[in-house]
Amino acid sequence: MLGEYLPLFFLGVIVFGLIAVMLFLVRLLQPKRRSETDLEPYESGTTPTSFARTRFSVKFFIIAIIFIIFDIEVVFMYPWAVVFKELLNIGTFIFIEMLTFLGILVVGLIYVWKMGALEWD
Amino acid sequence: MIGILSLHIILPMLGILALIFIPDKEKSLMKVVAIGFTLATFVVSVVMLAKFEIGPSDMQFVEYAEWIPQWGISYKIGVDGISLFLILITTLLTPLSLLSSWNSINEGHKGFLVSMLALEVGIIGVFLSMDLFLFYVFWEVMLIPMYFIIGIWGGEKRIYAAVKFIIYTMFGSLLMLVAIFWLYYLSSEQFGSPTTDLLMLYKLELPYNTQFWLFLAFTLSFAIKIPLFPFHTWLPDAHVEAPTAGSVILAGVLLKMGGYGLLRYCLPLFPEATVRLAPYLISLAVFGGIIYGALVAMVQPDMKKLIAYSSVSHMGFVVLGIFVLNQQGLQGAVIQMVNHGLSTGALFLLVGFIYERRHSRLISEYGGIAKIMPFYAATFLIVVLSSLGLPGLNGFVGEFLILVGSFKYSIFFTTFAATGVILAAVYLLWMYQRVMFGKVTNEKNSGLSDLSLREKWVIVPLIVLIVFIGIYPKPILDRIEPSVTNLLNVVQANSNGEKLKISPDVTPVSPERN
Amino acid sequence: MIDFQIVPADFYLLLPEMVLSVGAMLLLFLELFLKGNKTVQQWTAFAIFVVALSLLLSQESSGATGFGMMVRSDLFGQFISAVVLIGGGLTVLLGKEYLVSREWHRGEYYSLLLFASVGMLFMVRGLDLLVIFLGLELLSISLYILVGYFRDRLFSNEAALKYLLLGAFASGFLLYGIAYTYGSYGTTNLNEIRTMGSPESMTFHWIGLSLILVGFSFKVALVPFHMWLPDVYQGAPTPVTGFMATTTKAAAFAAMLRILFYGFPADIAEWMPLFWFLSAVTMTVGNVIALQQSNLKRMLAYSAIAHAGYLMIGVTVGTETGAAGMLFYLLGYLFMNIGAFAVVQYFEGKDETRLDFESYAGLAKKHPLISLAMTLFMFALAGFPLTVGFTGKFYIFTTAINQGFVWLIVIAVLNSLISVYYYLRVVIYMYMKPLEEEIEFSPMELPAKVALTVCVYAVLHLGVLPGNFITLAREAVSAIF
Repeated sequence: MLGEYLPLFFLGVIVFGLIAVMLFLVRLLQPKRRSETDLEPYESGTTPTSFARTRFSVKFFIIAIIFIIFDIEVVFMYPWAVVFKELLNIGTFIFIEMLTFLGILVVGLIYVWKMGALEWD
Repeated sequence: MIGILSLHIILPMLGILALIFIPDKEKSLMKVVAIGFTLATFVVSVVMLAKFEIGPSDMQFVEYAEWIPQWGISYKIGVDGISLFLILITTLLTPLSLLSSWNSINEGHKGFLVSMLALEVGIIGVFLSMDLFLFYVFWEVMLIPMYFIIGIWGGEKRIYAAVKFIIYTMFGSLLMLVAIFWLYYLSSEQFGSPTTDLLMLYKLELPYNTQFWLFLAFTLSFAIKIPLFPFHTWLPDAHVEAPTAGSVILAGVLLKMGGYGLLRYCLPLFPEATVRLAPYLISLAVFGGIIYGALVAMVQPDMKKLIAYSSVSHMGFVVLGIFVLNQQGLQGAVIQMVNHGLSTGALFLLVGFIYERRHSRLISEYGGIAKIMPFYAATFLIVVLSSLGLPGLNGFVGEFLILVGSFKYSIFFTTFAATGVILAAVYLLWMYQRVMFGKVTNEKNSGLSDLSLREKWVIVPLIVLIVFIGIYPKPILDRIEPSVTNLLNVVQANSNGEKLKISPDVTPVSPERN
Repeated sequence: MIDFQIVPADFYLLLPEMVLSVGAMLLLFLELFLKGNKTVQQWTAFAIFVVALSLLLSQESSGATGFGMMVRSDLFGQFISAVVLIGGGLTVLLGKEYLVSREWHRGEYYSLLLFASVGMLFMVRGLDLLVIFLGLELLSISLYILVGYFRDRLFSNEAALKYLLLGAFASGFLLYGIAYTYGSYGTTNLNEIRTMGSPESMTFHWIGLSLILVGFSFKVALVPFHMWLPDVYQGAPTPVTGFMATTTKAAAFAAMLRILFYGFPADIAEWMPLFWFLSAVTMTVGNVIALQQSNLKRMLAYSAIAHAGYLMIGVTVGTETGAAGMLFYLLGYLFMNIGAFAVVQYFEGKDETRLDFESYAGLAKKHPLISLAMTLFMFALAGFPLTVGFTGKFYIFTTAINQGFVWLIVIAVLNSLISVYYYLRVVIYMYMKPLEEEIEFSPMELPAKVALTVCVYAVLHLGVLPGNFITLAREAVSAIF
C-alpha cells in the first residue's frame, strides 16, 4: 500500500536533490568578492532609506485580519456551489446550511461593524 | 428505626446541629448544650452496657442498612466485648473533657465544641464499624477535628504539631487504604461481588504472601496510632501542644483506636501473618514501646511530655498483650486500653487544672503543691498509683494479665516488660515527688486555689472507676472474655498450621484468684 | 456519492449545541445594543445553559447517530456534556462580580463561554475525528480569548500568548495524527475504524495514534506536556481558570476515551506501559511542584496536573470500570475545583495581590462560612472521606487494584499524602494564623453564593451518597465499549 507513494518519494528526492545541486553550483561558480552593497537588503536597486523594523498602526492589523476572515469564508462557497447539483437529494438542507453559514458571517460582520473595527479613525 | 448504636453517632451530630444554630454570644448555653448532648450519649451507652448480653461472642445490637450497594458497601455497625468498653470510655471522657475546658478556651467556642463532638462521632464510629469502608471513613474523618483542635486551640508550636499529627497518621492510613483496596479486590474475586463487610472478609482465604503485605500495611497504620517506637514522634508534640480536652481524648481514646484496629482487623483478617510476625512485634513492643517509652519519660522536664511518653510505654503493654496471642494477654490488652484511657485521661485533666492556674507545665516550676492544694494532691496520687499499676487500682489488672499471658509466651520478654512497671513507678513517683512534696520553692505557687466544684465533678467519676475496676474487674472481664476467646479461635483455626504457643482453651485467669 | 439522508431527528440531536450557538450570538447582539447594566447578559447566558442542559438531558441516549455518523447521542456524551454545561452555568454565576470589580464586565465573556461549551459538546459527542478536532478548535480559540480577557494586563497577555502557541502546537499534532490515521484506515470516522479493526498500514496507525495522544496530552496537561498550564492558569481571569481546569479537562479526557476505547479498543493493552508511566510521572511532578508554590492559583494549577495523573490511572486500567471511575471523578472534580477557584477569586482582591498563602491568614474569623467552604474543597481535593474526592479516588483506585496495578496505586496514594500537606496549608493559614490586616471584602453577591452552595452541596452529596451517580457513570461508559 505504501508503494503507491513511491513516485511521491522520488519526487521528493528529486526536488531536494535539485536544490542541493543548485546551491552547490552557485557556491562553486560565484565570484569571490564581497562589497558593502552585497550585504544590503534588495530594494529594487535603490538605496534603502530607513530602518526595516518600523511600527505600523494596529488598525492595519485589524483590517488585515478582518479581510482574511471574510475572504477565506467566501472561498468555502465555491466547492459548495460546484457540488450543489449533485446533492439535490438533500438540497434544501445544504441550501439552508449555507444560509446559516452566511448568517453567522453576517452576525460577525455586524458585531465588528458596531464595535467600530471598520472605522479608520 | 434507629438502633441504640446509631444513637451514639446521631446524638453528637444533633449536638453539632444544635450548636450551629446558637448565636455566638451565648457561650454558656453552647457549653451546656454540648455537654448535655455528650452526657446523653453517655447515658445511651450505659443503657447499652446494661443490655449487653454476657455469653455470646458475636456482635450485638447489629444494625444494617444499604449505603452504596453498587460497591457492596453498607452501613453496618455492631458491638462486642472488645469494643464495648472502649465506646463507654469515649462517651465518658468526652463530657468530662468538655467540662474541664469550661474556662480554658478563650475564642472560637463554637468551633471548639463542634470539633469535640465531631471527634466523638468519629471515634465511636471507628469502634462500631463492621464494614471496612465505613471504618476507614470514620478513621479519616476523626483526623480533621483533632487537627483543628490541636492547630487552633493548641500551644505555641501548635501548627507544627497539627501538621505532624495529620501527616504521620495519613501516611499510615493511606497505605492501609491500599490494603483495603486489595482486600476489596480479593473479595470480589472470591465471592463474585466485591464487599467490605467485615464478617464476610473474615472468610477470605489469603495466601501467606498476600497476608504478609496486607498485615504490614494495616499494622503500620495502627502502629502509628498506638504509637510504636519508630512512629511515635508525633505523639509528644501533639500531646504537648493540644489543649487539655484534646490531650485527654487523644491519650484516653485515640491511641486505643490503634490497639482496637489490631484486634479487630489484623488478627482475624491475617491470622497466619499475625502468628508468624508476632515475635517481631512483641520485641518492638517491649523494647521500642515499654522500655524506650519509660526511659524517655523519665527525663522529661515537661509534665505533659512525660505523660505522653508514659503512654508510649503503657500502650507497649497493650501491643505485647495482643501479640502473645493467648487468653490472658488479649483480655489484659483490652482492659489495659480501658484503664489507660481512665488513668492517662485523668492525668492529663489534672495537669490541665494546674496549667490553667499557672500556665506552665514544667516540673521545675512546681514543688510543695500538696500543701497548697491537698485535694488535688490526693487525687493526683491515686491516679499516679493507678497508672503505675498498684494492686487494688485499675492499672494493675491489665498489666498483671498481660504479664501472665506474656509469661506463657516467653520468659525473656516478660522479664524486660516487667521492668517497664518498675520504671513507670520511677518516673511517675519522681515526678509526683518533685511537684507535690518539699517546700514551696516558687513564690507564684503559694496562692493557688484547690480544685473547684466543677473540677471535682470532672475528676471524681474517674477516681471512682479507677478504684472500682481495681477492686472488682470481674464484670468487665466477663464481658470481654467471650469475644476474646472467639477471636483466638478464629486466629487458631485460620493460622494454617502455625501453632499458637498457648491453646486458647485455657480458662481465663482473674486476678483475684491468684 | 452521498449516501446519507438528513432527517429532522438529526437536528433534534444537535439541539443543545444549536441553542448554545444561537445564544452565544444573541449575547453578542445584546452586548451591542444594550448599554448600561449588564445583569441581563448574565441571566440570559445562565438561562441558555439551563435550557441547553435540559434539552440535553431530555434527549434519548440510545446511541443514535446523526449527520452521517458525525455525531452520536449516547449516555457517555450526555454525561460529560452535562458536566460541561453545569460547569459553564456555574462560571456564568461566578463571573459577574469578578469582572465588575475590574471594570471589565462585558457580554463577550458569556458569549465566549457559550462558544467554548459548544466546542466541548462537539468534542464529546462527535464520532468523527474531524468533528472532534473542530470542536477542540472552537473550544481552544474561545479559550485563548478568555485567557487574554484582560487585554491591558501583562500577565493575562502572556498567558494568552503561551496558551495560543502551545495550543496551536497541540492542535497541529492532533491534526497530523488524524491525517496519519486517515492514511492508514481511509476514514476518520471512529465507527468505521472500529468495525474495520485492523489498519492497512500498521506504521501509519502507530504514528497517527501517538500523535493524537500527544495532542490530547497537551490539552489535559500530562507531564511532559504540562509546561504551559501553570502560567496560563495563573494569568487567566480566575473564573476562567476554574472553567478551564474542570470542563476542558472533562471534555478532553472524554474525547480521548472515546477515541481510544471506542475507536481503537485493541490498542489499549499495548499502550498500557506508556499510560502507566505518564500517569505516575504526571501525578508525582504535579504534586511535588505544587508543594513549593506560594501562589494559590499556581498551587491549584499544579494540583490540576496532579489530578490529571490520577485520572490517567483510569485510562491505564483500560476497563469499563476504569473509565466509569474517570467519569465519576471528573464530575466530582468539577465541583471541588470550581468551588476552590470561586473562593480564590473572592479573596484575591481587585488588584490580585491577595493570592499568596499569607494573605489568607486569619480569614476564618471574619468569613467563617466561606472559609468553611474552602476547607471543604481543600479536604475534598486532598481526598478525605465523605467528600467526592474520596469516593472518586476510591472508584478509580479500586479498579486499578482489581487489574493488578498495585504499585501505581501505592504511588498514587503517596502522592495524595503529599497533596494533603499543601492543601492543608490553606486551612492552616485561614484558621491557625492571626489576622494580619483588616481588609473589607464586599459581601458576596447572590449568584456567586448560589454557585458556591451548589458546589458545597455537590461535593458532599457525591461524597456521602454516590450510589446513583456511580450507576449512571457505569451505564454511560458502556456506550463506548
